[in-house]
Amino acid sequence: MSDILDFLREEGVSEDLIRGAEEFRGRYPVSEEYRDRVPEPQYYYYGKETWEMALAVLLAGRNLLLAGPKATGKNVLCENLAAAFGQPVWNVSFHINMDASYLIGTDTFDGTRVTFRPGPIYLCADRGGFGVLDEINMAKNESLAVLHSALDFRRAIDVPGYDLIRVKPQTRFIGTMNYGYAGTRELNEALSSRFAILSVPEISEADLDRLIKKSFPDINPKICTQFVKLFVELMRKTEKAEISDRALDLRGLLDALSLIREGLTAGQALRMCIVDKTFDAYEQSLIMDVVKARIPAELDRTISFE
Amino acid sequence: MIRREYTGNARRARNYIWNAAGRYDFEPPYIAFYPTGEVDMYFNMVIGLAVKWFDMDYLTAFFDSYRSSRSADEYDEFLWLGIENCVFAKELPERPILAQLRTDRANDFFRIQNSLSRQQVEMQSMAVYDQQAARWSEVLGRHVLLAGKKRKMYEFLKFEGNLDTEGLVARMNEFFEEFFHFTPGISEEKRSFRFADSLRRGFGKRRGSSEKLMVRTADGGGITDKDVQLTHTAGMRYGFAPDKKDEDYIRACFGDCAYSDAEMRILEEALCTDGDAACRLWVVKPQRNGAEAGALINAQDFLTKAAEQRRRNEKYCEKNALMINESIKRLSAALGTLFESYSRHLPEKARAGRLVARNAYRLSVVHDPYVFLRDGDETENNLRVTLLLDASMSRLYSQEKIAAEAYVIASSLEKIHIPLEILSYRTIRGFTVIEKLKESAEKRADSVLRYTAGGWNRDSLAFRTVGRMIREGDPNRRQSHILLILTDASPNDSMPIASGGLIGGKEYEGELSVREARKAVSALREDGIRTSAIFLGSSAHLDNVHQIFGKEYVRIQTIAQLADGVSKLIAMILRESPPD
Repeated sequence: MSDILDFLREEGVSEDLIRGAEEFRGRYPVSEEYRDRVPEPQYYYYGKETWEMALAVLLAGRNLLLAGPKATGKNVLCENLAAAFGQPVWNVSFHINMDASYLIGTDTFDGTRVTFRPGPIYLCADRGGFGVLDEINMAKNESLAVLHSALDFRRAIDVPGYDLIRVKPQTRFIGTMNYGYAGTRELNEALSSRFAILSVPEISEADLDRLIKKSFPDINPKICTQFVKLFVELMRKTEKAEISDRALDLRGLLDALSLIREGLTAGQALRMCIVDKTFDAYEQSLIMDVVKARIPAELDRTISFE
Repeated sequence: MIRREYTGNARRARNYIWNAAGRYDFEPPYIAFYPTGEVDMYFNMVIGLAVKWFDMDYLTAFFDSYRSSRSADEYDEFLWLGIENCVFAKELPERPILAQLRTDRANDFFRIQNSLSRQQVEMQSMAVYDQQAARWSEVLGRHVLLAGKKRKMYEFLKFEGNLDTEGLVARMNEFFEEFFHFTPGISEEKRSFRFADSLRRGFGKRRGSSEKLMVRTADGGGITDKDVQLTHTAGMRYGFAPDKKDEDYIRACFGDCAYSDAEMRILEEALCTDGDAACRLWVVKPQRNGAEAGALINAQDFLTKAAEQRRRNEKYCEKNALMINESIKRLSAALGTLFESYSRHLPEKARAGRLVARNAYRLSVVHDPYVFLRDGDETENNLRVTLLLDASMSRLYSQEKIAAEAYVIASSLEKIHIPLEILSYRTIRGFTVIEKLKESAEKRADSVLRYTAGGWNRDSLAFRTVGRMIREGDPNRRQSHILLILTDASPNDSMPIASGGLIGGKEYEGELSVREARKAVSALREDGIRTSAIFLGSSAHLDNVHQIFGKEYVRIQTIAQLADGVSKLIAMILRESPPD
């Protein structure tokens, strides 16, 4: 894949912002030790306006919170942003039992003495990089309080019993969250005020069409249209809570197309990559109904790909 | 084949319609099933496509305009054949698979026809059958064996794909003129008639010589086919207090009180005060298993009908098992995450975590690396939930649904090991009866299916009584309590609000009863019992629920909404006043 900045130029993203990212790369080169943490995205995020807002926030030295439902490409955008700025990524998946020790670090015994084992937030702050705080609103608010000083003007982490860590100037934290889903909670104001919040819109039909065609340049355009409409129909059904969001899996859709290209029928591929993502039999039947109303089960690569 | 009612696989059928329409914000006017009861995928898509391409309100008004005709169902079938041809042509360029689905539908038609019994065949309209067979034969490339007027009708029903709504209605009008010699037209107002509403308007409180608890025997889906009468005993103290005969009736219907006489006296002296001074209380565990020999005759009738209602509740749950199980999964997942925040993980020894300084010596002396503590898997839960079901007569139309909803909540909480007690309440013959449908320690949720409705509901007294019972169970206040009340926010009792010893008193209904209920809820909240409502009732009572519960309520209209609604409600409760 070409450099992501070329992709941004093709998308018409502001040249000033792209130049800003290039300068950022030059100002903060990555050491060899962490080079493999710099992402090489397999998929690009489509959405000019979203790109421009996200780039501007990060160039301004602020942290970014991407909020939106599933399958809007939040994690793809996180990865793309790190790639655009040429920075290593530390990924943290938040969950209900997350606590400060997981984020900052914990005491451990190395065989001879008690030592401090740093957590991902410590490493990201200290080494310089992009910390992706995935599903940040799954954790309890009190567990997230340790992040406050790292996220605001202090840009420091005071590790009890150890040291004061200054957050490197190139470090940024990008949070993602689904709002209002089961298991999610309100972010308290103290935390949300430390982010610029970007509502990531659902991928439009046009962007999805481009994404699929970029990923599968040889796809039959008419077949591509039907897969796009299939995804949109699943999205609508999820919004209305007729099905859960398990089947609304953009990667699943792309994986299904890969499998069709490898030789499976559409029925087989979609069952594995979309329908069976949920384990509830009734929900599977509802999803299968949507699939049957769009994609012939026996569709194969001879028709799907040119 | 196409009927205006929702049963069984109705949700799946609706999903076909909504998916094809590209909208989920309407109730389909029709749903399509095969004579065998299977959902007709293709025709439900046709209905959805009609919504997509036409103004459905306009079309529905047209369908309504001939509704009074004896042949209305036949006309529906003809017209939908016409609409099918039209929407097929419109949608095909956007949805190429439609051609294959149409062919499959044609094959299904003949397959199902071959499987029908002779009786089923004879029950069909031959005129409709002829047209359908012709249509599906053509789709399959077969020869159409019709002649004369039937052939003419067949050609006419190939409505063109370029029609708009007005054009379609014009075509349908022409169809009626040509083949049935009348013009339905379109009426100015849509006629609507709700059988249940007319029954409800006819119902009212009466005072008479005897009060009998009757359990409706209708389908639990909101339609009743029986009138319900409830009259009230003329009482003694304050002119209407319950007497021994009333107590005997209550005992016969519900069983012995769970508390002793002495305990009940203490309870009544504490709770049956001021406006409830003439009232009595009765707390029971479910004991009735049907009419027993020697039971009061009046009570026998109730007991028989209650047993019948239990069977209906069970049948409803069986029929909707898939939806119920899905709701349980979703609700337990949502609540599990919520309640996790409020349960303490008991610490356990580990090789990494928080160093226990006083044990640090063990590292070098005895080479024991387990001198750290981390949060373990075992949790300490100090939260208890009580679900209180309004079992008054106004719930008669929804008994099965309420029982199923209570079952979903109970099963979900059981999955995440949160103790749940389920109680129901009603007021009959001056007694406010609190029935324990499920104890906290009980694991299985089936006992909630004993739920039956009937009687009045003196909400304020019931709420205070339940609050007292919760406190009796936790005298040292070690636990946090949530009280969820499944209600239609319509407190109503035949026993007036007693006023200073004078005979008479204001009716326990309307604003007064709402005010009393609100006071009771406030008192519970001040006592630390987080009280909120799951509102399953008429929009007319939305104001009531807001007055009584403030913002701590959620409105549920279908079981599918239960998971999201209840989890949001509990999230709000926990957020506003987290447990200690």
